[in-house]
Amino acid sequence: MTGRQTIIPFGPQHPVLPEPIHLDLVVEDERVVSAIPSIGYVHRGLESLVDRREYQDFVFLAERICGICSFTHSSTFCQGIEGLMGIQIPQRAAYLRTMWGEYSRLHSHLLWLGLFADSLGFESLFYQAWKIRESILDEMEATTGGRVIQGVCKVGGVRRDVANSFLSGMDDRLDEIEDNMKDLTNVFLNDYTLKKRLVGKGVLSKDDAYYLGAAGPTARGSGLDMDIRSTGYLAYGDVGFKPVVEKGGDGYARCAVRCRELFQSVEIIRRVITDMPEGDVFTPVKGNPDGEYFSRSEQPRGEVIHYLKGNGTKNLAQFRVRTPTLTNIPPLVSILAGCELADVPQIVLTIDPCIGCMER
Amino acid sequence: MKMFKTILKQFFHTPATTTFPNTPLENFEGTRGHLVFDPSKCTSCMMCMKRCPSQAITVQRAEKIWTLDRFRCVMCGNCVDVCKFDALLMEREYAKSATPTERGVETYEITYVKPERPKKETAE
Amino acid sequence: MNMKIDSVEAADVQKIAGTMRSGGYRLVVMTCTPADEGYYITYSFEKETDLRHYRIAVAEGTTIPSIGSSYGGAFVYENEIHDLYGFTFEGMSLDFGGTFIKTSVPYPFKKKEQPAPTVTVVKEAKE
Repeated sequence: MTGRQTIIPFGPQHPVLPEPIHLDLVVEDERVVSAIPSIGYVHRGLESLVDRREYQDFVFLAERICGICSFTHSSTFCQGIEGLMGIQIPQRAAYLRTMWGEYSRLHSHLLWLGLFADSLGFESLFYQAWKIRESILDEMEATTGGRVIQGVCKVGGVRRDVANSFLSGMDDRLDEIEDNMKDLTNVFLNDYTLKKRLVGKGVLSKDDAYYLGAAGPTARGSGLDMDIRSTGYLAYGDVGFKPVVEKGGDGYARCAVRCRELFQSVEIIRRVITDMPEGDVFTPVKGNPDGEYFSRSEQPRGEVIHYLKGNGTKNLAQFRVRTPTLTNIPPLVSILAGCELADVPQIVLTIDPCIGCMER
Repeated sequence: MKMFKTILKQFFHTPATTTFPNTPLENFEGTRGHLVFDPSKCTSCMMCMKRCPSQAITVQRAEKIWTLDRFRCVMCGNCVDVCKFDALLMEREYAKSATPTERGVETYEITYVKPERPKKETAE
Repeated sequence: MNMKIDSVEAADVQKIAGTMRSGGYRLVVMTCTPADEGYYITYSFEKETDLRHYRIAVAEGTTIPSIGSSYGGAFVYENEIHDLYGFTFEGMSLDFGGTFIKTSVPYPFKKKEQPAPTVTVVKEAKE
């Protein structure tokens, strides 16, 4: 016997949602039959500003697409302009960008773990995660000058150098951070209650993940070996990068991918710090970009694509961003179909939605 | 055993937060806190106004007035980079809170005087 | 990374998506770009490290066949292009009818007759 179908609106304002997304859940008794997402509450039209700002100043605007993966956005944009103009950035700048990129991944994953714990009603874990995150934000502020918005990328390199003495001090502090993270991830991966709520919930099969276009930890949690970092842009080719892949495809696997990536990021930062080459951090840039370029890099949430089109003037002709959350929406819809109503909040969070960056 | 240690810690550790207005905020050498303008060095070249990504700076060349809208400024430090005359500087401390009407817009009168060119000594 | 873009006919889009899908490619991105005449829509597919771009040239406000039957995830891009540039896609797997991205101006990224102003100085009225 099939029950009557009811539509339950979920969001845009909901205690577990950090950012506004609206889902219409078609519910039969306690089971979700299908979900219809709708976005558009925070559309800023940031991409259209590109023809009114010089390409060198637009780096700061590109950084403000997202408040969490801000550094990756600016470095991807710079990478695109450098690709258009054929600029080779100095090795030290590439290493520094890699380091900051991994720091921002650490801070984003810790933020997500905290929010995730909060969505499961585990408040003390939320505070623990954010406490560790604070020490990472301090490192960021000390090296770049900004806690969340770093503003340190620049077309042709980076704006600031980090003294070698500071880098070696960073290594010791990383040990402490790693110890704290071990305690934290131990709870996420082995706690009875969390496991009960995560294992087998919201399963995304490998094929679905691939053809619906999942990206980042969502795809890697379903057993897909998909990580732009393995193409070896910036310094990732030198550090011997191997993607973290989990086979489960459920919420637990996606959580485990992020937990393991924390330690991988620490490992990459260590390698980058020890191998940091000497030299300039910036090459002077002359001329204006012309042509088309797809610049890709791996954000904490997945693969981001900046499409740039220059027309030989100091303003770009076209700029378009495809953020990982946008392509993670179709997988989310397919996961939600068939789940329990009480699991919806945590399933929505397992794809790590970042709506502000999705709508630009 | 580990849990016991964690519980014991709860009784003795100090709070992780600070009481902000009483204890000053911790910042670092490179922190971009707020923008400082030196009116005696500005030559009104308008570079900061043109290159400001958030259009927070307005320079009125004829009236010799330099204005910063602190509510638009995003502390990126681009103007400091493009200023060739060192008239702009990023300070470490964060700016005090303000309302749009009060201290929201900072206006300075440019006091820079163009140094007179040393006169060519005419051949006698 | 491959930046070469192949031009194809707008009517062939579904066929290409079908061959890409059976060849094991995934849809990476759909990009809409204003061109000198009309617009370009670029479809990017990837399999492992093989990235391919296909481009169709379309005039303003035309109807384009949707690739939703091959790639279920294409609906986000198609709805977005519909809402921002004003194209209609035929046969989308999930059609929002223009409410995917809610904008205060209809089709904000459409080519405008007048170029946007370079610098906007906001002046508050003094009382």
